[in-house]
Amino acid sequence: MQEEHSIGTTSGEPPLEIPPPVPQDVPGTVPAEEFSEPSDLPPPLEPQTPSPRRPTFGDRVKRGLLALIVAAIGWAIPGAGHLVLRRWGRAAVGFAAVALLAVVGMKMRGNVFPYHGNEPFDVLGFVADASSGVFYLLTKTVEAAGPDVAHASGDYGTRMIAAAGILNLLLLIDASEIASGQKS
Amino acid sequence: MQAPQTPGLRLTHWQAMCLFALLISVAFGFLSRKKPGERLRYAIYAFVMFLLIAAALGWLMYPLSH
Repeated sequence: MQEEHSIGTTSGEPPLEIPPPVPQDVPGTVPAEEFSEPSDLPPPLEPQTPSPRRPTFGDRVKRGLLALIVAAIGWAIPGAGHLVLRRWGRAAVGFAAVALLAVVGMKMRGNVFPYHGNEPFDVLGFVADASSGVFYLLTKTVEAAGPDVAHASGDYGTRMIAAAGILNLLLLIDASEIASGQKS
Repeated sequence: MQAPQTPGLRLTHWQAMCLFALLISVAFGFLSRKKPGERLRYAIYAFVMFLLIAAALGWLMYPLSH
């Protein structure tokens, strides 16, 4: 190695020694001596779980559509919106509560508001009653005799039918929030 | 042809109120809580509150009927 860096002379002078080349720092490379020495850098971080991906516009559109579909199904059949989302408990209890309220209200001969209401309260009553979905359509099947609000029992029945519809509204709002990801 | 005039289901005010409060309380419990124990506790709490507040409102309105 030494001979490689020395140049011999013919006049008897000692050969010139050429120092070995100093390693130059090349950008992008690590000097060899730094591999073996302990580094002052902090230890590497533990591998972390990847952060959740931010929803794209397409994801939000899909979730919005799913929320609308779930709300429509939940309106038609109380509890069916939760059934689609595999929330069995809420689906069963929701259906049972709405069905019992609506059927008991109709059996008590409560008033079911028709579509063509003239007064604001009639329109609100229709909205509340129609929110019970399939039970609104089954009114005549459940109680053929029709409403009888001359008795207090019929008046209680009117409130129960409306409460069934409002409860179904709560159910479908809950289901659509779960479907859109706003609620777990 | 006229529909038969049936008296329909007759419930007293107290019975109708208890049935209403029970159904709504159970539904509220399932909608607002996740764990079974919490659901039961909330349903009982809501049921009792329904009855107590209804009774209190009834007594508040009592002078208006006389």
